Amino acid sequence: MEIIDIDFLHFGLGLLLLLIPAFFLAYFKTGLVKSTLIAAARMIVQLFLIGFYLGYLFEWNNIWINLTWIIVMSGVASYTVLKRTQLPFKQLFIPVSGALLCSIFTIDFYFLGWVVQPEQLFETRYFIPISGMILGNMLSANVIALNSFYGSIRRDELLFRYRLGNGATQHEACIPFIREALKQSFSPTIASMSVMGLIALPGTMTGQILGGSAPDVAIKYQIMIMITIFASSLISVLITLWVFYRRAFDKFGNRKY
Amino acid sequence: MNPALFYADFFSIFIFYRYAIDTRSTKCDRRTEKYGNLLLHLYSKFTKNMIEFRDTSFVYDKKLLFEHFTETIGDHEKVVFSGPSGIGKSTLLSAILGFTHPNSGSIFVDNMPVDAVHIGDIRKRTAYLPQEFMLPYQTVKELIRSPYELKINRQNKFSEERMFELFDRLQLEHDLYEKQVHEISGGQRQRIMLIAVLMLKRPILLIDEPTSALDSQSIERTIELLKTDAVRSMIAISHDARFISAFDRNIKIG
Repeated sequence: MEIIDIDFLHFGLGLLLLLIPAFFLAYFKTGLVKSTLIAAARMIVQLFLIGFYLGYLFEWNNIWINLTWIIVMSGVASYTVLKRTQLPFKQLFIPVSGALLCSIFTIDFYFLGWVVQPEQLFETRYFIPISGMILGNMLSANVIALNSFYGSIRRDELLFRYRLGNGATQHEACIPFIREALKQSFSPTIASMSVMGLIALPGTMTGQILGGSAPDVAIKYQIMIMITIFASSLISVLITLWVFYRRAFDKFGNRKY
Repeated sequence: MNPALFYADFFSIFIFYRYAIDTRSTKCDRRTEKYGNLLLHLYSKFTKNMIEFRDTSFVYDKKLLFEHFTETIGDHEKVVFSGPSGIGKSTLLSAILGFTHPNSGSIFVDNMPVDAVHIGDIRKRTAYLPQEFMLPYQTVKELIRSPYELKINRQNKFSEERMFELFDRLQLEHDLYEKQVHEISGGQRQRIMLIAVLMLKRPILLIDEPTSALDSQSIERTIELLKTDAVRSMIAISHDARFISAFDRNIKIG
């Protein structure tokens, strides 16, 4: 089964669909027309760029280039996390990037090495999309977890001190806050996992089916992707929180920032 | 090795260590510190439980709270910190636990300075109840038992019998133990929180305004309980005249 490519004429035709939402957004004076158009334009440019360099990555299929790509992407993700949580960049950039990388590699080795077993462990066709997918999902989990953790420690400082003052170690004092952060960042994933396939057809599967895979292969990949996303997000959140509370508190358990 | 020499060596290190602490010198090398700590630990086991403030001054928000505060709270002594609000009583109390630091002077607990090295050991000897705050628990049971999750408190077996005894003394009904936190009143919660820290059986108890939400009868009961408790040193922050007259000593702050 050969997939039908979309030529530029028909691609343009598809884009015209945007006119419908744009019209109604303008009609109700929502002020969103400009930002919609900008967002759509950004998406188009960014995805074309990705398509362009993914083309090269596939052609080279070089383990070192792939590794570099993942390292750079972890850096970008870490930058985004810190910017969105407004935590000090200088002290946390490297630890957070490290936490993300650590988690990606753990999952990649396990999933690609034992479950999928491609001919070469870091084969671009598997390594890049899976790592990218994992990274994107880790990003939001980490933002929510860090925001919740730091926010609740600031809000409930007396609880933190109550625990420390009654003999808790730094780690023990953090436990209720870690619990809260995990709850907040993973309940959305759990909720979406439980309705998967019921309400919406998930992305990976749709993509694979469009790409010509048989539905039974596609659902297996979808399930595996959900599991790897879940595991990798949890690992990365735990490591990030750990490096964060190691850095964010002094030996007395007082916040440094 | 000649044992006499061995002990002499230890002793000299110890003297040096005390000297290093007293002059607030941080230059003693790590090995010295290690032996010093060991000896200090042994030493503090045999000495009285005291809390010492040596010439401490506190500045908060560029405002001088108080200066040259020197005070020793001895073993088995129960004292009240009193004074106008906003003067820094809570700051002083939390400085014993290293949550705030004096701008000058130093604080010692059982002869251990409140510093990064000793803070863990110090906090193993204290029970601490901050001024009114909420714990994120649903049930009274969790509220009382939460300090028992901590590793240090695990060997100290939780005894419901002793807990109900304390309930009786503070006039709390036993069925409160099975209730949800939102079902009990602020005064009941405050007494229950106090019971939670009292049950830890620590030699030093630090409590901030433990009776602020209580009626006058409960206040008397609480004071009576605290007065007769086996805690070896106690500092309570309070404005209440009954507290001040019932405890061994009143230290006016500010």
